[in-house]
Amino acid sequence: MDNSSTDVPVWMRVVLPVLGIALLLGGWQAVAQWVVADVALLPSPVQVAATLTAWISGGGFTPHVLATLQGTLTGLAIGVSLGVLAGIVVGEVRALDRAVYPMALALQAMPMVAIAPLVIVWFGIGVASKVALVAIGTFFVMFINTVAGMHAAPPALLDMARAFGGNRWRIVLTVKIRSALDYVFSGLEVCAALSFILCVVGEFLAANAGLGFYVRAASFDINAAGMFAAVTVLAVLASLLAWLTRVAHHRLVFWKYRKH
Amino acid sequence: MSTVIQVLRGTAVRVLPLVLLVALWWAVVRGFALPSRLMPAPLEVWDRIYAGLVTQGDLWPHLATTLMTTLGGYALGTVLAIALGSVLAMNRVLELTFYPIVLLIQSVPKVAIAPLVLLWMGFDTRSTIVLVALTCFFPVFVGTFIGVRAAPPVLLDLFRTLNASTFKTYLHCNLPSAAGSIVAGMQVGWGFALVGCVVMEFIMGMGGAGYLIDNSANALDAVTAVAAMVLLGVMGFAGGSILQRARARLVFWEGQVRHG
Repeated sequence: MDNSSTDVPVWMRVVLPVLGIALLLGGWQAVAQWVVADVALLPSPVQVAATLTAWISGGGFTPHVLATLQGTLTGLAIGVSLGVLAGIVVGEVRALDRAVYPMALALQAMPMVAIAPLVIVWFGIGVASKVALVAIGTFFVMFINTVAGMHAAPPALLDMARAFGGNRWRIVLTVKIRSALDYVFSGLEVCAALSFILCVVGEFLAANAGLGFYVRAASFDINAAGMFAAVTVLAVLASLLAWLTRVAHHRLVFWKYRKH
Repeated sequence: MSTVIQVLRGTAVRVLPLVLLVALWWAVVRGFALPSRLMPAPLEVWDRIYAGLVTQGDLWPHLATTLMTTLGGYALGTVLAIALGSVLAMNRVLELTFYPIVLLIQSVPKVAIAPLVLLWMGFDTRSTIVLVALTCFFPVFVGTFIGVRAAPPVLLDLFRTLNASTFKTYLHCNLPSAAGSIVAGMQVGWGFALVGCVVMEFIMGMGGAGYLIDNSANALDAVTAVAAMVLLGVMGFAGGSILQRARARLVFWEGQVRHG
């Protein structure tokens, strides 16, 4: 990827990233301490860490994390399983494929978060509306990716399976779903980030618990340290989910990612 | 004669999914006898859009707000992303130092910090512009970075042989070869930008399509909410199509490889 002349010695590859992060934290600390000098507006990293530890040991933080996790993961499970199932059926049945797939593509143009207020009117301010919101949003991503994956099955493999007398559903199972797996996991990686976003936006609008609800409430109290702490937790959770999806992707679709 | 048929067929293929979608929507609303305060039928929404855009014109101010702020934030985010992506891709030391910072910031779900941005920037268009710039930054940054890095080594060697400066090499070699990748990032970024704008309008409540959706949904005026969603979808679609055209025009040499 790089040409050798622009490349740098090994020590730089270790030192520079550490330096970068140190610069970020140091700069943030300096700005918070001397430039802004107002905890209500910009807490320093040290203050955020203190808020976070107090929050964890105090236990006041658990219900919000659990509410967000429940909404996100339940919605994700529903949206992903329905999206993949529908994608397999639609990708296999030609008439459905030609009718439904372009519809889903047309719907994709609308930003999914826009339906959040209506979903809350439908399902109430509890966790159900967050589950529904996440499920609807992730459904479309998974559906579109699965259908695209079913389309991408290599013709040579399909021909071979047919030549060996495989019936339709056997071919779907052994050839098409397998080749769709890469697309399905790419969709999952998108959904890992999307699901938390949808859940948090739902919690912004109306909720009685959750990290989004907490951030919104903290903003009314002008409590920036609390907001930073909640956002940090959210970032960690979202990164963890994205990382797990990535690992599963590279494990299960090993034939494509063997080199890494 | 055959060209006329081809054009007609092309239009039919594009319009048919939308017609089917509207038919399905109508069937669901009719079939389940959904009340229009929860889920309106297509015709009601069409009447509302017609009234809002033509006879009464009350939707225009909201649409204009959303479009202008999204465009402003999008321009800001895109310019910053292309600049930073180019600099980091051209200089290995800067890349090693600053790329980890970008990744760290990227791990935070951008819309989750909407209340924080609001706290800093105040109840003003500036908040929306900043959030939009943040949400659309990353896809454009990655597109730029990967594109600039993917310049053909043979060409880079040629530029080095001719003793070209780094800037000239970038301008005449790296940038043209990155153009397709940058516009691809901008296409993703446009969708993200609309999401950022809508979320900020949700929580700011001072006008715009997002405000309209939230406000009408809460007032059980789902007709207006869905009308605003449809118009948002049109905005997303229009932006995507314009960028698609721009891409085909700008990097015409990559057009041959793509199918469909």
